[in-house]
Amino acid sequence: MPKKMIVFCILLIFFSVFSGGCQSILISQNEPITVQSSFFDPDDVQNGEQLSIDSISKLGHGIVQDISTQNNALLITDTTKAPPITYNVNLLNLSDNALSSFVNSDKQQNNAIFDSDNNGVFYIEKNASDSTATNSQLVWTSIDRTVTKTISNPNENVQNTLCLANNQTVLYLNIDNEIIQKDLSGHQKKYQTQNHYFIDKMRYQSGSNTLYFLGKKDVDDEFDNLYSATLETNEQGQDTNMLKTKQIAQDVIDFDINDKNTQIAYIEKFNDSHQIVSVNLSNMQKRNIKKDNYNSIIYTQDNSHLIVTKSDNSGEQDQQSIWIINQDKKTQQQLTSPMLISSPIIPSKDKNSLYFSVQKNNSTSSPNLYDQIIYQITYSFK
Amino acid sequence: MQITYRGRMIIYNIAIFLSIFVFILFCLIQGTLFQTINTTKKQLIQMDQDASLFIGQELKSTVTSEEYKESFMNNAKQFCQSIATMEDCHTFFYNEEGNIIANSSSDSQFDLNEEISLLKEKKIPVILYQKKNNVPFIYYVSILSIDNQQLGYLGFQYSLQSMNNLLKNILVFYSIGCVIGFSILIVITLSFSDHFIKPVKDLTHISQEINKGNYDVRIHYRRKDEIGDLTSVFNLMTQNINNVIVQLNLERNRLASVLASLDDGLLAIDQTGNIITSNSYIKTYFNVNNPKSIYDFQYQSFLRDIYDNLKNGKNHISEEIDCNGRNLLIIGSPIRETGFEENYLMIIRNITATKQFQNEQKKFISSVSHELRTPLTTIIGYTDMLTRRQVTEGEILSKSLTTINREGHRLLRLVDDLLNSNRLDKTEFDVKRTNLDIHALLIDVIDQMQIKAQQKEIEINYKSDETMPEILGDYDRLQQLFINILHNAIKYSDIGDIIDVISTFEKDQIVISVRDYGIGISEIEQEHIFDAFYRVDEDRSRSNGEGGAGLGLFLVKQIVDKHNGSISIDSQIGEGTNITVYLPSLKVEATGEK
Repeated sequence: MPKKMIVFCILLIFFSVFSGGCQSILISQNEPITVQSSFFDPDDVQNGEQLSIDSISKLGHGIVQDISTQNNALLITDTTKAPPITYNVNLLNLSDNALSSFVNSDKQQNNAIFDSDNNGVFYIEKNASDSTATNSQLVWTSIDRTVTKTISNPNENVQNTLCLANNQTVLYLNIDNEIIQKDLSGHQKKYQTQNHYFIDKMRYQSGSNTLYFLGKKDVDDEFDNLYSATLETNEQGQDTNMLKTKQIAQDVIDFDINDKNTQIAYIEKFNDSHQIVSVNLSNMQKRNIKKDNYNSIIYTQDNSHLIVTKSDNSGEQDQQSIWIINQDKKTQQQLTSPMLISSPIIPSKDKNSLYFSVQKNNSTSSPNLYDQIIYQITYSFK
Repeated sequence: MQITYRGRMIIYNIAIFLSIFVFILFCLIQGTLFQTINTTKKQLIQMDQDASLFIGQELKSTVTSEEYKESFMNNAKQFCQSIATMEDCHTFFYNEEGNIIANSSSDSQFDLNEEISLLKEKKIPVILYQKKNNVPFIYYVSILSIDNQQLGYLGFQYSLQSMNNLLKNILVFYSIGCVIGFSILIVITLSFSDHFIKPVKDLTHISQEINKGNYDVRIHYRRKDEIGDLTSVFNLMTQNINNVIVQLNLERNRLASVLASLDDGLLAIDQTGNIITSNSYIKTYFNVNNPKSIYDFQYQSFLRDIYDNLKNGKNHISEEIDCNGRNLLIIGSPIRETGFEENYLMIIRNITATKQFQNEQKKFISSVSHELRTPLTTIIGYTDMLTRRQVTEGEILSKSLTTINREGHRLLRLVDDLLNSNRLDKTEFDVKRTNLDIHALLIDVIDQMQIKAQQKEIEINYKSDETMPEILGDYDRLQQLFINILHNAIKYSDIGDIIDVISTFEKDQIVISVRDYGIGISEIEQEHIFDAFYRVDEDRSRSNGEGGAGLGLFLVKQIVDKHNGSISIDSQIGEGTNITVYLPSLKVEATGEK
């Protein structure tokens, strides 16, 4: 080809490119095109089992706290909508969706959990009007509401973190970051972590008598680390037992242990995203599951799947959708649209159902007036 | 207009930069468009899924499956607003017939009938990329169904204003970057072009130097790159040329030395008559300084004639020319070599000496013939007379025999002289050197010559220093030397003259002079007195029957030379002749040998 011809061709190409400017030449304008199946059917759906949402029910109002081991009742916390403001711990009977008041007072009850025998409920009671030093206590009330005991020690302020342990004991955290293990009879063991961690969440593994917790050395730290510590009374005669903690992961947002006590799954910060990691507790082998904007994690009742909440990038802030993840196939499917989820996701203990509360503004005239709707979603796989 | 290499380099750099700028800008814009639209597609699909789940949640939690459609129609506007709020995107619903039933923004007007038709046909979501008021939008429509019940169609109008803003920012920053980059490029190109051109300039400069004949120049470039390779090769080439030129000069000088050492004149001429080379004999023979052309020999027309004959095809020309008192033999021949044009060579040989030698040889043969013939004629004549006449007379017989005997001796002496002269000519001539007293030798010689001197009543006076050092010499030869000198002195002296023989020691030399007062020798004859067969006065020497063959003084000269001495002659016509012999004393010779 003559040299002039080559120069002409090059100039023609550059003129075309330059005159194209900001016009998209890869995607045509004003011409409808169908979305390719690769966009529409993501790998998660194609390679996983097909999720079916069997039913969605609104069970009532309030914030879901726990479900009974018999799977027949939910613990709900609520406040009155009109003054005088009272704080309620209610029981929602799942057989007829009947709501019964359990505790009703002006004290701020929260973090309510059933005890291991379903004989009563542990909850934190905070008396905001009490000016004395001890205004936050752990209380147990029997299901029939005939007996109420203050579990935490007198002159002891407790934090909002508690979990059940073995032998009908409960583990709670006092204001000094000491971990107290106590039963209804008043027998207690006191533990202290070496670094006096500020603990946000605790889960007890009965098999190995190990406590897993999210903690940080400084209260101002942005993220927690995931630690484990065996609850051992290692020094006779000492009032406080010093725990030997072991760090499992850094910058952890949430975690859960499956019912079989064989695995722990957690969400860790990973660059600008959050990553789900599963750890086999027998050999502490880690396995990365998925990365996205995950916020909370919990195992399903059969431990086959993980239920996670995921922040939505678009639309309203703090909206989260619920997804179910097959941890073997590493696939995920969406269970709900983005919502303002205001409670932990509570899975049923015997079926594929989830219970959670959603904050909704049902009044167009009062934008700041919110209602907490309890949802039950039942799903299945085809 | 002719643009320089440096100018072209700068223009090419700028052109390449602008091309790359345009290309990167194009890729950046198209890549951003493509990426944004694809990301938006994924987002819209997620929004579609969120919306479907939302509507499903609302319907399933409030009505039975049979009432889904009716409930959806009743609550479409509320759902539409909720989804628009949830997804922060303009949302709209169509019923199954394709009529719009809810729109989250009443301001927005659009017609998506074509897209709905395509959706109905393909059953998969459809998107449309469109600009309205210079704001790009993506319209998305999909089928809205809950538990396989189709409720209608769901649509989103997604604004790509953020992408527009991003592209504007990209263009602004990229343009600023380009202007800065272009300025830096100009500065760098201008300064670096000098840097890149410098080796080329150096090469040009060095080439000019080489062109002037300076082959010792080198380019200094340390980097091992393409220019480094070029300069290395160039330097090597220059060095090789220099070596070749040095070698050529050496060969030329050697050839010039060879030509200069030739005893012949030499002229090499090319086709056009230019002198290729010549040597110094040309000036000697023809008195022409540094001739450039054959036509510079204005007075030597014979050279031009020979040149013309050679050019006309003659292969060999040999001519004898008399020029400036010299006999010259000119030999001309062509120089032919394959691949080169024909040149011509002339050898000019000075044969003057050869000619003279030939003449002398002729004279010698004539003299020898004559000298041999004279006594032989006499002897033959007398023997014929005695044989034919049968002479018995005692006096005649005695006279005849005496004559035969004398002529026989003369013949013998002639033969001896010839033999001696022939022997002395040889380099291997054997001189038997011994320590000898020159004084005793001279007395011995004078004694021998007294008889001959007395025949002409000549008195030989001999004087000598009292103390004379010995010399190293051949007694017999030196005796012959002085006999020959005295013989000549006697021969050319008049009756009753005296001959003075004086021996002295002067300046480490023995000086022996023999002075006669005879007829003397002219100056012209003195120049040839020591030549072989040269006789001063043939008639007179021959008349008294003692004329020699002209070999006496020739032999004297030879013997003096063999003894590292010298001889001189001082004579005037009518006043006699003084021959002086200088011989080195033994003391001097010993010192010299040391």
